[in-house]
Amino acid sequence: MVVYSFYIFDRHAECIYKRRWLPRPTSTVGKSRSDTVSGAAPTGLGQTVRSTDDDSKLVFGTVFSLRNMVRKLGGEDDNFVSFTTSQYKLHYYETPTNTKFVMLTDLKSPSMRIALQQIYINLFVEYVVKNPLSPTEHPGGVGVNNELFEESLEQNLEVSSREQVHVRKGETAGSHRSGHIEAIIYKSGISKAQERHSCNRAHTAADSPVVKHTVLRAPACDGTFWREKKITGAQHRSQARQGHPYRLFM
Amino acid sequence: MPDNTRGVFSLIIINKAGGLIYQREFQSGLRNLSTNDYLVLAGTFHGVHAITRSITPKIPISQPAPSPATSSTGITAPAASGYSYPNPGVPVSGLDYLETDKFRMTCFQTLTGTKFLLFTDPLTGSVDTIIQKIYELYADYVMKNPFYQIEMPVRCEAFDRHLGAWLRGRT
Amino acid sequence: MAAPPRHATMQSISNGGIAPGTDRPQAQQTQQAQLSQQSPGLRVPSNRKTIYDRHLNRSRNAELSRASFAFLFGEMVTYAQRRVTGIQDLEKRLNEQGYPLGLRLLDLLFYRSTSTSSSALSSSSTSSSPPNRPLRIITLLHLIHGPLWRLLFGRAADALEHSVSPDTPNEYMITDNDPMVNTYISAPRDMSMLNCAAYVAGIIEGVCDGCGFETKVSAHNQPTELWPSRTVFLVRFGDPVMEREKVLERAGVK
Repeated sequence: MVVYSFYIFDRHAECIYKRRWLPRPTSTVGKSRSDTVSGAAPTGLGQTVRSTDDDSKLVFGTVFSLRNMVRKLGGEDDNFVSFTTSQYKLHYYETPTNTKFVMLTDLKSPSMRIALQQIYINLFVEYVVKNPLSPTEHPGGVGVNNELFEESLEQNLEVSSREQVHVRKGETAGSHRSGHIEAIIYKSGISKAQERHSCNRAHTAADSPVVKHTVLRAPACDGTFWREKKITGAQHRSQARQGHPYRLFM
Repeated sequence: MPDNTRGVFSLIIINKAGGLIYQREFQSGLRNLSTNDYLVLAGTFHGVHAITRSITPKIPISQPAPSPATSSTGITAPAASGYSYPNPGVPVSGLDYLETDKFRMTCFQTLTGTKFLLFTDPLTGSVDTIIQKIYELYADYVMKNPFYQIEMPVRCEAFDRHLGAWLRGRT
Repeated sequence: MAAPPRHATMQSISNGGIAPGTDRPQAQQTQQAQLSQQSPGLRVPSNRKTIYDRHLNRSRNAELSRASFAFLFGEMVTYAQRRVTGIQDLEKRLNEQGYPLGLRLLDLLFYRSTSTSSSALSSSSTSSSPPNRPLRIITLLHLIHGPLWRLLFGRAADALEHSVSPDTPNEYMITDNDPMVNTYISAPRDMSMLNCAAYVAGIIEGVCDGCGFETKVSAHNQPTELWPSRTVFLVRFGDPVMEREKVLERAGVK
């Protein structure tokens, strides 16, 4: 399965996050959104080269229209799940708060609905919504493109797509860091479910590092992929989680 | 006669300009819309279909050089100017299948630009066969009818009759 | 009543080729072959074999694309529809398009029904050839119901009836459950009375006229549950025909 791109739209129809991948491992580990996007591929229709910004607008227009059409025909409780063309497949997931998650994959991909939901629950809520440093709204994508979210997303999709095999897989020193982050989450006492989840994951990750390719993991469990710079960032945010306002919301 | 229309909700035909020219319900399962709503739906879908085609991901072939001069001459062919489509060899199409919780929509576009939208139960199989047969009936009983004006709403009693009979008799 | 003048015009067009049992057709053939060689408008194959040089029985069992016929007939209907004032006018035009075909078909029909062997081309043109032109109404109608229908549509018509009303002894009905010309045609709702088989009615009229029976033929929709496009061709013979019929009956002519 190949993932081509991923978009998040907020309830104001604004694209607050977008990411494009190429099927080759180069230039995919881009950091800022704009860099990744503009460097990725010339997006163009016919004779004109469209700016990538338009691209997200087109995607939004498409899913928005289709979603409305589906609701009109199938009733308010019907949900638009995906569509297929001869070249790609678009998956759609909408949260009750009208945040829309869109992913473009190749045709062989199975339904990504669960995966998108997992990204919402385990990544977006955890690292963006719960992040006290990110604003409640995300004008221009502020607060979404934090390192923790991006890295976890990257891993998540790697696990599910297995397309982009990174060399850093071989690193072993990560297990310590994993334990470290695990501990922090533990201390902050997020929720019973999360706790249990973390335990399981810590266990499997310690048992065999191969397991991570078969399950869709929640992100913070395994620090294998953190670079030095990232660790500091992750620590920073993890520590921020311990702060007072954060715990209140839990 | 056994009723085998189970699974086929309705059919919509959209002409090449995006106008609704045929709408028929075979089995309830979707909400009924007013004629005006169907017209809007047809027009909207026509546009969306074109967009879904244009947002096809492009994969750079050699080096990802996003030079502004990059412009492809052909839309369908894997362009020589630096990128290819995910499925080279298959013509780029717009939306073919749409899936929701309650129904599945299959869109078949003829080479002349007419679109057939078939709404079926998500579990209905051999949708492509159904739509091919509908196209055949359309070619026979609509296009060969001297009283049918091209691109205008389809009001052909023989088409209705054969369509209904075939869907009922389908096994 | 318009039949005699129409017949006359047809004669002038077709060079009087309607009389069977004479050697005219053959003469006409050679004449037209020469004509085709002279006129630059006709394409003549290099081997000098034009369509007129072909044996008439050659296309006897030939198959024709139903789709191409449907498109051609559709265009004929569209053409007839231009500047018409109403349904009756349209049906009249279709009828007029079928009429000359009926006249010409009659020749081919007689030719093929009398002789099957290839040598018949020369032998059948003698004066002693069997007079198979129908003289009585019933023989004529059987000719239409059977051989003509088979020639045109590959099967016989479905029913042949005589009016039971004493007021209209001159009315006969030929029924076709599913006329081929109407297969793909759906008349619009405001023209529900229209039946494009008026063209076939014109053919019947031409055949009757060619046999010397003055007739009016019209096509009517009589849909049934099973046969939605069932069509009845109402054949109305003129008064002179009915009078002659009585005379022939008394004379015992079959």
